[in-house]
Amino acid sequence: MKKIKTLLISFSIILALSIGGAFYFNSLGEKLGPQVLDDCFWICNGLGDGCPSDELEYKACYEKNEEICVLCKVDKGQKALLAEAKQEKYYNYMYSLIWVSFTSGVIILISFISYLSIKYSFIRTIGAVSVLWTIAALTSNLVYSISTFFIFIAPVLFFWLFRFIRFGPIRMFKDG
Amino acid sequence: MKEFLACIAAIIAALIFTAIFGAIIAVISTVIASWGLATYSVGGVLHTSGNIINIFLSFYVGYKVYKRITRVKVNQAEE
Repeated sequence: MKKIKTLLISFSIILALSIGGAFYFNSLGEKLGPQVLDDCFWICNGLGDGCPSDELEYKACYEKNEEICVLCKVDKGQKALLAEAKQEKYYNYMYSLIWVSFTSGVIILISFISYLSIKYSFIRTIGAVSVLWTIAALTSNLVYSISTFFIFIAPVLFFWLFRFIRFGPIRMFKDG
Repeated sequence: MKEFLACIAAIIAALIFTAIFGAIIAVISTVIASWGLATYSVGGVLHTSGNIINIFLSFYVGYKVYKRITRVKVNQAEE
């Protein structure tokens, strides 16, 4: 029981951190998007030939688009490549964090179900999970046909079918 | 009458099992074919052979369900 509680708490922290990190890197990546890059070129060209030489003008540019205007100082031909590389790096971090959060979420779910099973009743917990799973399958956008619905609820139906064959119609709903 | 109802329950269980297992087989055979482990035609063969296995398995499941229901009735009669 202690191990399950430890798993729940530690992976909840990991989940929160990874979701926060994913949002952070997504916002960083968005700042370097093509639209922002165009804006920077427009700002830079509007201010003169390339990047602004005047300190105040550069400051205004810098405040508007911090990341990209730092890149404005670099050789003009390299700007787009650098921005794209940096954006790709941020998005790679984001995708990795999404995978971490997904895995943490699955582990939290399994731990929570195990916790309820141990503390209360295994069959009642699985029963509740089965009902919720079926409702989720019915309301999910992923289920678009009867075949996909069957695939989604296959674990639930196989479990109860196994219980029925193994223990019979009365004992299948009892623990032990 | 009770055996008749058990038979109907077994048929329903077998049909549900066939539907679920058939959908799973369709997905698995498509995935195997998409990996390049098999050509498209071999993927079709996998699907067909999976369906044949599915039919036998559904008969087995139906039989087990029927047996379980009738056995419970016999046990209750003994009690």
